[in-house]
Amino acid sequence: MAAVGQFVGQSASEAPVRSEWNLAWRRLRRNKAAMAGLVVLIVISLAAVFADFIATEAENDFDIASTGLPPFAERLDPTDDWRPWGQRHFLGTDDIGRDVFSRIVRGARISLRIGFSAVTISLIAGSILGLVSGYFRRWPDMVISRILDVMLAFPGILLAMTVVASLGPGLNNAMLALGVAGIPFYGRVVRGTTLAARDLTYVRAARAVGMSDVRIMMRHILPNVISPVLIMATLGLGGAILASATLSFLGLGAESPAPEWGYELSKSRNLLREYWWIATFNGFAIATTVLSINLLGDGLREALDPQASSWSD
Amino acid sequence: MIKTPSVSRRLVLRTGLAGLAGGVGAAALAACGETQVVTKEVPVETTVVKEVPVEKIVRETEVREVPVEKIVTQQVEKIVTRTVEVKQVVEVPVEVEVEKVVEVEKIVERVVEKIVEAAAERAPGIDIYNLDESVAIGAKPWDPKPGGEVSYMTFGNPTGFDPATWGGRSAEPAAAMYDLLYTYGKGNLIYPHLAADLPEPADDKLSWVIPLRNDVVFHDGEPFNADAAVFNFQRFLDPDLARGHVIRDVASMGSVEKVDDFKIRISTPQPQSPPSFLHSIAHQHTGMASPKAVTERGEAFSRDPVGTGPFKWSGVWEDDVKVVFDRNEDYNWGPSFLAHQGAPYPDRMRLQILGYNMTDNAAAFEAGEVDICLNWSFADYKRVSENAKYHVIGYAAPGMGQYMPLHTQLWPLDDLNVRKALLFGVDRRTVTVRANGGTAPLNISNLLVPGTIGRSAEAGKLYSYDVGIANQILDEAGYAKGEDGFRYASDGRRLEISYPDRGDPVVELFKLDVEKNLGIFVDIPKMDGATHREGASKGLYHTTWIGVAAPSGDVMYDRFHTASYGGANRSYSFFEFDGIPESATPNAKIDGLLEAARASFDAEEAKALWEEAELYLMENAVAIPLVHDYLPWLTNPDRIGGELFLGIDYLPFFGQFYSTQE
Repeated sequence: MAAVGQFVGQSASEAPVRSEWNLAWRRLRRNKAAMAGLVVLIVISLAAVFADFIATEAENDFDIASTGLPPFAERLDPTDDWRPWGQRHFLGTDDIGRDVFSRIVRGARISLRIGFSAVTISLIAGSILGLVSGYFRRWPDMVISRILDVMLAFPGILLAMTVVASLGPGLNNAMLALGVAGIPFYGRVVRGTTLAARDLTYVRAARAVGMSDVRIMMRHILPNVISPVLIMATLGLGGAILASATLSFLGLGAESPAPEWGYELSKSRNLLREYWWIATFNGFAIATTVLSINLLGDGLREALDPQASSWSD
Repeated sequence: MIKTPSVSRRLVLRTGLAGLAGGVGAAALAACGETQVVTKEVPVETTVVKEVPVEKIVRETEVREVPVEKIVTQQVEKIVTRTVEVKQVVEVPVEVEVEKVVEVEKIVERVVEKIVEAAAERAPGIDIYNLDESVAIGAKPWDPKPGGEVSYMTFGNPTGFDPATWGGRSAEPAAAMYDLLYTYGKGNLIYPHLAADLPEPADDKLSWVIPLRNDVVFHDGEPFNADAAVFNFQRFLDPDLARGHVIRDVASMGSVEKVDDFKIRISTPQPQSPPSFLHSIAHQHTGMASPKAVTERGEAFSRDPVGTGPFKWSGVWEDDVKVVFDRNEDYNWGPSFLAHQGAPYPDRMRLQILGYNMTDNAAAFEAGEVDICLNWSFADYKRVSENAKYHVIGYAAPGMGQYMPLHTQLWPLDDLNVRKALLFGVDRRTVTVRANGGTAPLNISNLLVPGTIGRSAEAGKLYSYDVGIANQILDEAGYAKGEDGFRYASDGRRLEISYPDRGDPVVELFKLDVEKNLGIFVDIPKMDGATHREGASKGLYHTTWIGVAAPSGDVMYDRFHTASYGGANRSYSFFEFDGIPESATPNAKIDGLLEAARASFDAEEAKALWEEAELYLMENAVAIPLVHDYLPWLTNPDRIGGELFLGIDYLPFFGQFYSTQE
């Protein structure tokens, strides 16, 4: 530990700024769990991007005759599909004969999109509010902080449900709702970091030479904020995907016939005793994705802030 | 071990994070200072939390509606048959009477055969019977054993057991505590129950005298007589009382009065045919409650009920768990068609209170918590029916089966061509597969299913399932397909119909089917039942999915007569309805036909009028008929025995059960 601390200390003080990220990457690479998470996440992302290529059927290509086929069942309507998995219902079929595998692969798109969008909304809005609040202090800080306090007083999912209830259910509204619900967390972190950074000597110097506030914030303060926010965003991504699945499960997110994982889980839970594979694999998809993101997030936190992790160890 | 780092940046970061945590804590503390703000939010939270159960409840309510409809209309049928018989006994030569009765019975038999055949083909393991048949549970001979307990289930806490005020299906199993003046029994006949005989119409057909039994006592020892009956009917007719379902039953009645100690007279403002009049009384919602108990207990009566039925409340009512009823030892006035008229055999009947979920329902059944229950989830009853331990009994009901009403005044369905295309082009087998697993016989071109009195054979020839014809109609009407596969009107609008998603088993498949085969976009916004009812009563949506069981074509009155437009729970009255009840354009023809049929004392004439009405409605493509309707009952012969007979209200006669447990 001590060795690592010393090593890091030296490199941070002597190496050029860019190598900070190189070091972080090297630390991340040594974390096996985080790397496993990263690999899984990349695989899922690739599946989402190339869903049309991987999925064997269109997401809503139903066939009543193929209802409820178990995993690995052969297709009832053989095609000349060249893919090795093309002749089978790899993960079975659902209650109206749609290929579960194809739907889950396409569902990755929805889940990742909703996760990234929600986090982006929270991150951008939260960062701006936090920066303004921490940098200017006085009344902007007062106003923004109180607003964030009020938002923090609600459990996130409840806030999201309120937003969805007022806007109506739907994927886009769920995205927006989760984004809004996440704002205060980013706002608080960025504000705290900004408060500390604004009194650093070089920031003061920048102010003394007459740099504009916006430029100081972007050039000198923002880089200080990036590490914690990046860690939060990564962990938040998993949370957002889980929350979107929750909203969809409650009937407030995706609408049929979208292959959203949470929605599929909700619909198929009543069929659990007949067609266990629908709920199981959709649940597995959610769990795997969120787990991989969380592992990666933990790894990132350790990599970007080794001191905090050694302290916590 | 760790040297305090000299690197200030990391320190800063750490401080930042710690500061952040502190900040959050401080903010929380600061927020605590502003207590008012925080407390203000609490009610908001509560509101949100409530939403989830509401949605579930609502969905359940939808489900519940189906049997209610069935029950209501079922009464009519029995009445029809019985009335014909009675009237003919009085006025017509006996030979003719016999002929007619036979004819009706034939119709019924034919339906039963058809449905049983179809079911045997597709749903092995489910015994299907006609709704007016009594079925031996487990196909075992009648072998009653006294003692023990039988259990039934209900969804959510009962709303209260006062017949005048109960509104949801949750309270209906408590009908075991109440009796009716008339009830409908085997063979589509109306039987006197607390009445001593069938009612006598006055010469002007504006009033009816009902003789009452003189040997009936309430659970509290009070005698049942004309005063008690008048008291109850006056409550049913009291506009100041927050009445429940009974409103619908007494809608056609004007006043009630005592004739002598065991006779009452009910007057109606309009002349009514016997079916129409008896329809109202032979109904579970007009159960007779003890006047003394109602007066003394006031509002508390609904949780402390007293009736004349085979079971009486035991005093045990655990919210969210169960309500227990005891055997009424004195009972000996069961209607004559039942196997057993005396006091019920079991010591107790337990009403198990379950959640609002069909899967819970089946799970409770399989776990032995309930001995008999109604189920709508195909996946469940398929599994149960495959288990030799259980006896799954399906009841095929006449009426409109399951269908989708079409809003004929809303673009693009205001164009008859689009409606016709839907009638030709919707794959009924596919869209209902989630509702019945592909087991129910299809109904393509008739509003009414076979066996319903007044079904038009002509209407049956209008449509067939043919996607080619459907697309041809749309092509010829000028709705060309765009590059996205959807059809567009000449003014560039995309053909689009809305079908709100309330979690019913048809909506998603309908969308997939219609978009793929016809190129008409189907919008399926998700909404709860209350929102949907409100919107639908304003005519905002194009269609929905309904199941309505009924004995005769009179069921069309509730759906398509002007009087029904926009009414509560009549949101599916789409025909000629522009969304504003007051300005609904009456369709003189359909109104006239349905009114005449309702008032007709001649069964053949009424039948012809209904046939004409159905043909007219189908020519105008006012609905997409889907399939016949039948609902399966799950029974466990190891726990319960006896006869299952569903009265008018799609509820078993609980006094006919006995426990088979050792």
